[in-house]
Amino acid sequence: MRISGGRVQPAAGARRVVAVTAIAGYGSETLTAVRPSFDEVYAAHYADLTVQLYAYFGDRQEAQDVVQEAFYRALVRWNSVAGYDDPVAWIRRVAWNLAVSRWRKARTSLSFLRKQRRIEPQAEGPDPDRVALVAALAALPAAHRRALVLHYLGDLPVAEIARREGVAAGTVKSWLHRGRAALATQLDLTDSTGGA
Amino acid sequence: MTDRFEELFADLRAETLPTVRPPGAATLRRAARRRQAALSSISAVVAVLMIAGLIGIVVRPGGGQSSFNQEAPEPEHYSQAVLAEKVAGFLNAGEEAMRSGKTFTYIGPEMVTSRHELLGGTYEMPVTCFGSGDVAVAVHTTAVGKSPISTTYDHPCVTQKLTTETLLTVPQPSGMVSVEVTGVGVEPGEAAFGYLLQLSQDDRIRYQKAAESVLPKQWHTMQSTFLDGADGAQLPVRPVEQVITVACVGFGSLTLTVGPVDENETFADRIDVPCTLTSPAKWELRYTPPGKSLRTTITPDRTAIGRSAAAVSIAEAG
Repeated sequence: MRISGGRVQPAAGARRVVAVTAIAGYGSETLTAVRPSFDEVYAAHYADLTVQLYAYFGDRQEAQDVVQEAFYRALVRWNSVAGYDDPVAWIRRVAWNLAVSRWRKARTSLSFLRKQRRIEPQAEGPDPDRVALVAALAALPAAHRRALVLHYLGDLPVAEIARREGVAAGTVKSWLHRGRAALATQLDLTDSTGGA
Repeated sequence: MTDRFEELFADLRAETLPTVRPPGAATLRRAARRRQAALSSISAVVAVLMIAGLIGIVVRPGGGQSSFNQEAPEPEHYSQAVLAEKVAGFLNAGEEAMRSGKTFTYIGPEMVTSRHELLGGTYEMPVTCFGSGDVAVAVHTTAVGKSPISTTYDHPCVTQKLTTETLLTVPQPSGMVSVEVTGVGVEPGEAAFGYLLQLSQDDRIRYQKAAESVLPKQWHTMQSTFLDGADGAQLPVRPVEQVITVACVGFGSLTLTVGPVDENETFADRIDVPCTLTSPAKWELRYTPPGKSLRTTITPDRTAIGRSAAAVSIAEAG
């Protein structure tokens, strides 16, 4: 068997296409693997991930610091990360690892992007009603808050949250249940169907 | 009610998303280039902070020369054998510890995760990285049903001996420690990362006492040990039937052999003993030595090494 390959150098923002031709026996077959470009993933997922971290921290600045650090780490090893089954999952994992790290605030590396952001356009925050939700989340234990955010904003199933957190699925269900109950109380949500 | 929460979070996402304006990818790239260029000076700063103890980490530089004054425009590539030998040397660890594969990582740009189920207690965790570049380290400690406690830091990969020590607390009775390692600007073959997880002396003694507490109160000789490897003793006894009782606290299992003290180190009997975290049991052998001494040997299996304590008592039968 002989394998030959070629790469097309992408323009900024373009998809990188790696075509591999495998020649075996008398026949040949061309396999085309599409790898997402960093710019694409950054543009498509930066805001969504920032919203998740904002809901967790209750602080936009802190959320953006962490998300930018996660994307920086992806950028410097993009050749590898782009080849993963789910590069966004890798970035999300790094971001959440940074989020729960006690040492995060001690990292000098985060400040360099904060300086950059001063020249970026700033926008208004969310509606006050949504701020109430973020404030209510902030009052929850960190594990409950993480479970709610990953479930409702990260769209992660219970099993994946459990894997990420290193706990049983039943524990995550309990966190979600207790988190919802606490939110319902704080936000004064009436329950006509029974149970939060 | 569940639908109401989905609605609430969906609204939060919908209203917040348009307000998030990421810096352009080009800005991120420029910042990344500056950061990469500054890596060597960052390493120096990190080293100074560590030495000063400002971030709770102690660095033990060895070899006497600064590791941060070199310029390495082209990172050197090493064979895996060289990397393993260097890391083992930096940690003053035997090849056996490194061969286990759990405490040694050939790093590249991908995240590599190692998991360890450990006895509760305080652990000293010396870490080192040989080669070039930096490594991002995340250590997560999790007790069953609890949220992980995480610590992350960057560690420089250097060619002079540099060991960083951290203290790690594993909850009782046991917990899971996962170590995530990612090379920053490191390609395979350019660096290797290693660490040890060493239970504190106080905790070792605590587990030894737990094993001792299971043994009969009447004995002629008693010994206890933390199972870092095989351990043996030659004990003076009368040539009458002896009852040898053993207990093990922790993970895995051990094999106790008993026999005469002779040049061939033969054994007359053996027993396999499971180690348990809670409610350890005692196990018994009976042996009549031909002379005025006998020899016992405890051999832990791989899963018990560094994670179990055992106690053995000897008493005359009857």
